Amino acid sequence: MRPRAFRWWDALVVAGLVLANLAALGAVAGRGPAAGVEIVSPAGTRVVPFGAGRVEVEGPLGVTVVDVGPDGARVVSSPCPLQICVRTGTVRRPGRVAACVPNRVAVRVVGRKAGGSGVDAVDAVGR
Amino acid sequence: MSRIVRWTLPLLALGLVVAYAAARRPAKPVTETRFLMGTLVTVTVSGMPEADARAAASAAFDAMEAVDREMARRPGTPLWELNRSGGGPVGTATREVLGAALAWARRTRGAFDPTVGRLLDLWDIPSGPHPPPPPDEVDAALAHVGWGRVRLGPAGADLGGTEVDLGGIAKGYAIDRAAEALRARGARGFIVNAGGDLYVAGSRGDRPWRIGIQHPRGPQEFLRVVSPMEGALVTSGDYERSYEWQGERIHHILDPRTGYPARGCRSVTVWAPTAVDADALATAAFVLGPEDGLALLERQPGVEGLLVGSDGAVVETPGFSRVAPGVRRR
Repeated sequence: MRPRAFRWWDALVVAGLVLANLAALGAVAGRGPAAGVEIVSPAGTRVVPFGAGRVEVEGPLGVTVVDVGPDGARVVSSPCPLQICVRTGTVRRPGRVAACVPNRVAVRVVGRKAGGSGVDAVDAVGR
Repeated sequence: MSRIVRWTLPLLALGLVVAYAAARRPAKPVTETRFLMGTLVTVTVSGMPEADARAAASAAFDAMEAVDREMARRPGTPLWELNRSGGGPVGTATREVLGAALAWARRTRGAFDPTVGRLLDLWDIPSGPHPPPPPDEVDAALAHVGWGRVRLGPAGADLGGTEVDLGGIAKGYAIDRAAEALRARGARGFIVNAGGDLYVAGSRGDRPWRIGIQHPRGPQEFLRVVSPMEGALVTSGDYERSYEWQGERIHHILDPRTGYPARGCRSVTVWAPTAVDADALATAAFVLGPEDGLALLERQPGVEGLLVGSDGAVVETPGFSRVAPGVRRR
């Protein structure tokens, strides 16, 4: 009688090693910026997680208030004359930016969960 | 134990293959952002190790800053001094840009005109909303506009009583210098984005670059999403730097012939091999309106454009979809 080529113990070993491989692959594939909202200001650049809520950002003219929601962000108020940043509305997709140039504050969606695969996800906006 | 050994070797091999495949994936693009030239500038570099990409982006910003230091119209810059004294010697870069500006002024019959400094000061759009200036003041400022009065020679420039503002072309020139700096440091796939005026080169690595062209009346919408050929994609729109006053849109693109904001277009997007040309042409086509603007763009070899008229109608040069094929049309 030929010995059985594959036993439950073999299956356990295979499963364990496959899981280890998948975990390693997941770690590699997960590289890149965390999903959230990048806020650029005179103080530097930082990424705020989605859902962070109200964030106050200091600029040369005063405080720009950013609301970071569960899937995007918008400038609620800013001490600039034209209010272009406020009029931009909520930015949800990578590539979209709400910028207050006079107060030197910009808000941009970044990261893997932020609609990176859809056609609305762009690398830049011509405007 | 022998089972572990038996399965470990093949699965280790599989793991190595997976790791190799993952390592071969193009690195994510590196993005750096700064406020420069009165706008938000973003440089995105793909296909390079992160440290090299950041060094290349830094060189690009340095190149743009150098242009700004020379050609911004603010106290202390050489252009400011040139305007203050009504003429004088000009540096190499300013000579190049002023020369290009005057050439475009001639070729567009004044639809693009770098001598609108007094008009821009009068309208003072960035500090709005405020009432538009009275007609007699517009006429007075208009008397100081006229590209034909500027003399540019080996000894320098004589502004002929005008005041030069290179804002409509220096940003394009700076974008070109940034692209040059990136290439010099080995970058092949990159985007230089100065407030929505772009130079696009190569690809993102895993796919072509994807550019959204802003819809002029829908802040959340794109007119098109395109993957442009290598070159500049510059847009002039009446929705940027603008405000409403008593139901009227007051914006920064002034018609140098009338002294008032141009009314024929909502936006004009121009593709050209260089940003300096695309910048001047986008402004000129916007001022001329959809019909004459389209004709102007069609006359320029190697230039394509997409224009949105004041009624919302979209027209484009025959080759625009060739140089900027759509990813999706809305």
